[in-house]
Amino acid sequence: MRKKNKNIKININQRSFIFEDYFETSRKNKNEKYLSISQDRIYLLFFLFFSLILIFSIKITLVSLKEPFGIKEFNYKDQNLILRRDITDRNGTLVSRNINSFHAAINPSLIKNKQKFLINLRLNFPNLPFKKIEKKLSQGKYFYLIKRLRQDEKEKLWSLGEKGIIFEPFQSRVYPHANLFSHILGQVDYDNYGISGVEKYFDKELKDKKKLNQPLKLSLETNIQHIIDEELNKALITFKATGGAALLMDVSNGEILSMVSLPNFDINKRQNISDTKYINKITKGVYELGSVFKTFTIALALDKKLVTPETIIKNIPEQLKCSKYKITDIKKNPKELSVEDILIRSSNIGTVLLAQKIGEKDYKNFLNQSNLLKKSKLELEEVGIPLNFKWEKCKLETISFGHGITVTPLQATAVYAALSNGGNIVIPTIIKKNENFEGKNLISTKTSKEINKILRKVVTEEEGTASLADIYGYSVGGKTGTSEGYGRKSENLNTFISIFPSQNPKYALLVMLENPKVATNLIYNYKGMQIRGTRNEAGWNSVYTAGKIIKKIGPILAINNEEFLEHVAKKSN
Amino acid sequence: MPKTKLIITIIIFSILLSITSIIKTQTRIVEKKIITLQNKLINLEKDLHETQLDFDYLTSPVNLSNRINQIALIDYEPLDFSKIYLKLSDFIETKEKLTFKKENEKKK
Repeated sequence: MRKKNKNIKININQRSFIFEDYFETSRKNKNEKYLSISQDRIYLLFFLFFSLILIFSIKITLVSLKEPFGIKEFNYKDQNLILRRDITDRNGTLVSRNINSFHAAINPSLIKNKQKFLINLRLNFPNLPFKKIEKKLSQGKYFYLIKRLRQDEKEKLWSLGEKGIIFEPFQSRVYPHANLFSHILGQVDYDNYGISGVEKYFDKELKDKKKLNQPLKLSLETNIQHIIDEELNKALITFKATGGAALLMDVSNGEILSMVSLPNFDINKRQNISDTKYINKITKGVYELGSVFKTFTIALALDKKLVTPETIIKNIPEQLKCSKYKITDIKKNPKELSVEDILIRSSNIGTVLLAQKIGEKDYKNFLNQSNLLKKSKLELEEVGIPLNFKWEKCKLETISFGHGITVTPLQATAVYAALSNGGNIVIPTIIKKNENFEGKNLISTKTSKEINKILRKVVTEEEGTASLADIYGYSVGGKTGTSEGYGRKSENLNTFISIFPSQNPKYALLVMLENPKVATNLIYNYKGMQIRGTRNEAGWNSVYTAGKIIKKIGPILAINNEEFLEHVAKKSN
Repeated sequence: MPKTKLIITIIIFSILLSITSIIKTQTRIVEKKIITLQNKLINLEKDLHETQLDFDYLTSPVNLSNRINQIALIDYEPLDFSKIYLKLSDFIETKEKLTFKKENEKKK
């Protein structure tokens, strides 16, 4: 009380005084105190309820963000299955995808009436080994009934309504186009690890969990691949060839739009293939490609400014003797030929004379620069290595027209792409790349233009060897090659490497046929005449096939077709 | 006074309690809906995954060619652009030219 009195301030100017009602003051103070406590309690209450609401809000946010327990978690995470990314072609068409599949396993301890189960099983699956199943059932151990179930088999097993049947999920790789990309895609093993082709080369990238939703985009085009595959299959029948291959490459960046090797196989069916005829002939097979090499010799001679396309080579002998080899031409040629005529007529002797002018050193440099002597850097496991050889006497001469040197068709096509695109070396690829590729110069732009003109003449000139590929509107140019199998003289290999449209080449197409025969029943439309097949050189089979292919794929590739401009565009305007 | 305050406090408490209860119930309902929708979404994704594969298989050029062969034995050949006529008059004009050319050749 004293303390309180001390706090009372006395106003000395005050004329009157009052008696303070201590009881009332005390009551007021008490009330204020209670009010304060009540307020605190209300705040606390509000805080509590606010916290509760906050908890619910957080919960609902978490629920909406969390991936629920469902199919994905069950299959992918709990089962620790290896997932693989999709593989698509350049337009996004699926060429390889993982799907959920099932094995049917049996847990005997969950089967109440084993006899009834066996009867039901026998009725639905009469071909199963029932003695073994009966034995395993009696042993009471968990075992697999059917591995890799088909959908109809799974439904039949479901309909049995047996608890003891366990459906074990696993990831299965499916290739919707079956045979079409068999040499490129390769296969995966039972554990989903790539064992060949793209599946093996990109195994790590395809299993990258961070990129699971992004497909691996190849540079291939499904429709073009089918057309080429179809035409090549027809050619194999028409010319009774034992095998064939074709490759379509974008000459500006080396992207491969189609790669076909026949015979092929269904990659959805698991089988051991040991026969070498099933190899990827484009990337793995190494061959003596013959006269297609003459283009390289002519290009080098032009690039070194030793000759021009019009330079006349005089006194060309009918036969050349080099060490133990006799070099002749298949048909008799004039004694004087221009450089371009040497390529148009495919003269071996003319090419040898040019190679001798070039010299061994420069020719070696050219082969090294053009990557013809080493393994190609393609994104596939199955890439062949050219056979080693020594630069002994006459090697330059034989190499100049494509003998005594082996390369893969892929390498030869890549060099044709480089020669025709303005001289830039391209690195072949099967992956779709958006950036433009700028490689080193193999030859000058001027030489490239000259070579394109000469290659066009091989198709258009009367003496040319590739008239059957002169498809109106596509300005096809190219060079044929007819050769014997390397070390196997009974076998022959007919090749045609074309570029189109030759005034500004966009694509290089290689067509190769193994051991083709004369197609006596085939009627060729040869320079406006209808003639029957009597000959067996590349000009009569590989060139014919290439022409058929270009006619079909040309519109898809949207090349500015002269015929279209002349007959459709002008009229529609 | 204390009684009134007590009543107010009880009323506030009751209101908040009922609001909280409603929120809790609604949260549960929304949670169930979210889970149902997410499951539906997964099923739809799975369906899309399989349908896309089916589509790519059924529309693969090999399959389409086989189907065409089953329907009719027609070997489709590409049509030359020079044989495409946008108007009947163009067609007649070209044919007349050809006839004229042939007649001239005969006269020669």
